[in-house]
Amino acid sequence: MDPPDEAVPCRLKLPATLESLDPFQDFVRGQIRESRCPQETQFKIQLALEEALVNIAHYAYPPGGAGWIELACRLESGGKRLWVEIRDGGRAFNPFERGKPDMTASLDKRQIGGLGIFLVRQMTEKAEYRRDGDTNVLTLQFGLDAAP
Amino acid sequence: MEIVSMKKENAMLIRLKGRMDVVTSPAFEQACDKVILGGDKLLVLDLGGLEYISSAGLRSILGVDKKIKAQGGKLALCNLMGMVKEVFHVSGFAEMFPTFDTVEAALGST
Repeated sequence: MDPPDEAVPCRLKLPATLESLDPFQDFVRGQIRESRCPQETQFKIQLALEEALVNIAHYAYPPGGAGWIELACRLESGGKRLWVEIRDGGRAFNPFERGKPDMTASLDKRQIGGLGIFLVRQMTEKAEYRRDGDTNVLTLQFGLDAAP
Repeated sequence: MEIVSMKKENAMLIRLKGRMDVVTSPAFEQACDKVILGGDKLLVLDLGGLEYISSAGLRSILGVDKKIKAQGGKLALCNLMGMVKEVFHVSGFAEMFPTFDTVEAALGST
């Protein structure tokens, strides 16, 4: 068997629904299996993926629309890093433009809408957004040997 | 996610096991709704068996807290471990709820 080529990411394209969440998670889990990174790190990757994917499933497309999400991932730096790219064809939306949630506000008053994206930032080494034509592109980078 | 609820002397104890994500959180809220309707004033969540939580899980715990407070009761958490503990700390949720190291300590917190 040929060694995996770092330059060619594996891709999976599915409908932009919550039902696609588990298949996407299984897909990425399969890609990082060989890196043997700690379980805790895997949970953090799953958390960032869930937050990013749910955001798209809920908000990117008009209700009832037939939207899609394409996820690409590859191991980098000899298996020490995971690179993930998530694309969707929904309305232009930069999740990182929103302010950080106010962690000092009281339980009743705080605005927790931005919590998911805040967690994406916390769980990644790098998280970036760009608009590519009519596509939203979210790029996430994770360290695999230890928690970020 | 497994949800097991047990009646204790002065409280209701709910043990969670597995993953609390956007798909499984609604079942947790439904289980808690029943407990809250039962009128218990203290609800203890034992998170010792929970290996994963996302913002959907945090939000549903927040929702349960609001409901039980509206009835004059309170929520206590215990046994936060690993990734779950870290997510509670990073998000600031750990400071928003009474948290305990053991079930016994949480049950004695009335």
